[in-house]
Amino acid sequence: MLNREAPHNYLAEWASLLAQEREEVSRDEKTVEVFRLMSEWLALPAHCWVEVVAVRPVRRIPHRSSQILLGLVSVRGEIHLCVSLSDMLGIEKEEGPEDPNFRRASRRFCVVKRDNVSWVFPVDEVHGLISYEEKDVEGVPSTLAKSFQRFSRGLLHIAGKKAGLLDETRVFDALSRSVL
Amino acid sequence: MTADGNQDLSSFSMMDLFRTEAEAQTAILNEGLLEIEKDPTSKPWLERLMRAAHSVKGAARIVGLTKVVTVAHALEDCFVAAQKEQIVIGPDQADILLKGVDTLAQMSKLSEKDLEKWIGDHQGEINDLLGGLEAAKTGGPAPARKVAQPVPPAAKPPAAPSAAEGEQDRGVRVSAENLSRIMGLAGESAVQAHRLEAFTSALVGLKSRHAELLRMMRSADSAQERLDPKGRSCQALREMLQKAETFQHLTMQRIEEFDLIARQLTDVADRLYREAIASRMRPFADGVAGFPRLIRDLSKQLGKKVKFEVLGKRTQVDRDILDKLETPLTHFLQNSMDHGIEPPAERLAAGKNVEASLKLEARHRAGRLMITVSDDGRGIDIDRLRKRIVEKGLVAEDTAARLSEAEILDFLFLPGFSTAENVTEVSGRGVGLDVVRTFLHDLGGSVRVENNPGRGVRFHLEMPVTRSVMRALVVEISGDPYAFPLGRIERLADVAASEVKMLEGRQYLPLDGKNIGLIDARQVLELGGQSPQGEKWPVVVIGDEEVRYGIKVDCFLGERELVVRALDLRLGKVQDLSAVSLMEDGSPVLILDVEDLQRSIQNLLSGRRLEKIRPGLPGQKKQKRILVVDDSITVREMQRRILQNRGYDVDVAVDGMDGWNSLYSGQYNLVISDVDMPRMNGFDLVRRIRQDSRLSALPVMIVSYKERQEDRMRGLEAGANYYFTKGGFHDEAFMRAIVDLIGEAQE
Repeated sequence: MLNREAPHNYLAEWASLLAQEREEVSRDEKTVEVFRLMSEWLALPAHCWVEVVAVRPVRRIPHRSSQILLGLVSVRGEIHLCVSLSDMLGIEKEEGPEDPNFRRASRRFCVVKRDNVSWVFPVDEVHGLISYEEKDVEGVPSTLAKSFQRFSRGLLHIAGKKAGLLDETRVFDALSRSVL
Repeated sequence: MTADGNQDLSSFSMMDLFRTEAEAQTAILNEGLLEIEKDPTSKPWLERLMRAAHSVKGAARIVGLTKVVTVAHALEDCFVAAQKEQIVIGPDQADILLKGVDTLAQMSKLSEKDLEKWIGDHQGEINDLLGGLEAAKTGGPAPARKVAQPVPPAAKPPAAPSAAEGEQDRGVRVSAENLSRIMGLAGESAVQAHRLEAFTSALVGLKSRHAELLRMMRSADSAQERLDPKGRSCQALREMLQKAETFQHLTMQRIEEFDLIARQLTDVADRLYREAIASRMRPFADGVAGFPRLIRDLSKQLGKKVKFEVLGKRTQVDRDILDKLETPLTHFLQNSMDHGIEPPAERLAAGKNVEASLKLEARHRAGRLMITVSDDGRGIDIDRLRKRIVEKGLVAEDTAARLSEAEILDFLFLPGFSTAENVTEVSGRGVGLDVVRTFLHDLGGSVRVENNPGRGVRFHLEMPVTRSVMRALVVEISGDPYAFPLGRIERLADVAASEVKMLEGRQYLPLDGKNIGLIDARQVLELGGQSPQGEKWPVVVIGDEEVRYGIKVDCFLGERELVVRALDLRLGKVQDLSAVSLMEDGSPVLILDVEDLQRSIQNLLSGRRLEKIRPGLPGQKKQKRILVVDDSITVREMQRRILQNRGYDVDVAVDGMDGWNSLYSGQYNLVISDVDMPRMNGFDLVRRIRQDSRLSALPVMIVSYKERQEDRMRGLEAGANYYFTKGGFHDEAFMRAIVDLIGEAQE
């Protein structure tokens, strides 16, 4: 039975199948972690993501703590600087009652790291990891806040929501400047 | 050892490994040769010496350092000859052998490139050395004259643990960052394990509610039984009751099991934590391995006979502290050898043993590390010291006559005060006693001298056993915990609000017969808000005999043992903070820098900070701001006045550290700094400014009495834009330099 001749189009079929797959792999796919600050959904490349932990006490740093530099937090016995990403991005608190769809219980602290420098920032909700292709990234609409525009390099459509794709270099550089 | 993380041996280069090995083996060679001098025929020591030389030779061959191989080989030959009893290693041979060891130590410290140059520069000496070793091998006397100047002794005595004390721990290399991460994780696991206790008691609570349910079912059951003893519902209820009882029993068992597991886990986590902290500790012997050699060389050089003993070699000391102890201890030992211990003839005349005794002892007492350096020399001549104080113009003659012995001895610790009639080569090299005192003070310790004229001197050094664990008082300020190092607190007080007095708009508190200034911690730390105004105010008193301040906190949380960690480097120096630690619940607690706090309070009370936050008048042009850093109040105030008259906005700081803090909290156009200041000198301040990305472009002017060209060069090398000498202090020249640097006050 094994010696039986293959159907005449067998090889061609497989060849085209394999060729197709390779094409798929070669597509530019990237992974981001999607999270929410107030009513804005945002995405940051997954490779700078360390972990998501429960909300914990933040200790103010005398003479230094500001709107952006919140203070110190400890995660697994290590002490990190805690920053407010929403204040740095200029995302404004909405007036009026909070959207009932967003629960306080979904608040988390995120630990991110780049070039051996780590930061912790509170988020209102973590959606999870999402893969996207470069061609799906939309341009940043000019209606966005000026400060916010500086940090994002496009918009992503995720499950009916629009998420701002953050530029990691600009975000981390701005964070480093914020503690000076 | 490098500071970056994830260091293990595999990432060290071969050269690094060679250096590590050479360091360990030269320590054994040094120690062994001193032993051989006492007992030239000691077989075990000759054996160890031979093996040590052999190891260095082998290791050097691997990395291709031929000169090192040659020297090590020559040493090995000598030891082999001694083993075969062809020669006896006497003092002369020991001298040449020790020189050989020094050369090995020196060469193995250099990089391959530097080594070539070094060998080229020292060719003659190396040849003399090899010749000497060759002569020693055949038992001939070392050709004394031919041996050139001794190779400079190794800058740092090898810190490798000596195996001579029998069973001893072997040291390993771990990167500092790795170690602190292990401590962090061990601490966290202890914290998490302790949370299980709370969980167990929550389970017990659940069990008692379960019991409550059972009781209700029982009473329902008995009620039902009275109504309808044979009914089906009664039957069903009884079955339910039985099941519920079984469940309760099972729950009980599970809780007990869980409790056991939790307790074991807590125990393990606590042990792990203690071990992690203990891994920072090293035996005292590790830090003093180079001293016997130092004393031997000095006694030969000075022609004195000395028996040197190190006691308490196993005393555990934090590795950071151990590293820093070397310089001050060297100073004390050199001092004793040079000034304390008399030449043999003088000792004989005084009826003393010809061989003097010099002891170095380390021990723990009441959780502190006590180190004593004692000799049985001539002691300190108080009357001569008194005369010297008067000669130096430090105190008038009649006052000096009234000073007690303790007060007179205190002058030894003044900067630049030396009792030596002529600074000799030996102790002239050392640091001053004032530096030793400053060093100990920074560690949170102290130094005391005990003098027995004619019979010897004893220096007592006292310091914390470790800087990584600290006893502290934790208080709450504005909702957050803060820690005061216990050693820096003068006293605590619960003050009745009615006792607090007002004077010129400030709060004062009568305490121990003095009025001390009272200030709200929130105000000093700029945390905003006001502390609760209850009837009793918790107050922490800091300061010294001269100035004391009371700091009002929200409440005392109690005494804690804290594991100290450095603040995040990205923050730089934060005013009023020294370090950070974790509370038992795992959350961070900030450790306050009490010296900084004192200054902050002084500034606050003198209104300096208030000036800072006063908003400028609308429409007014922006003034240029200058920071004047000088520890002399006269200079500071004079400069302030000159500059203010010219229209500049001026702030002052009392030393480099204070200046550095100010730079971080305000915007300046220029810094004018003195050079010699406590805590941080002017050069260090300039260097820090230049290294800081935000401040590197800030113009700095150094003002100093030092007129020499090399001082000027040092200042400019450190990064100052202008070096101004106080000697030629003319208002005009000073102002011109400033205008040149930053322009007029308002533009």
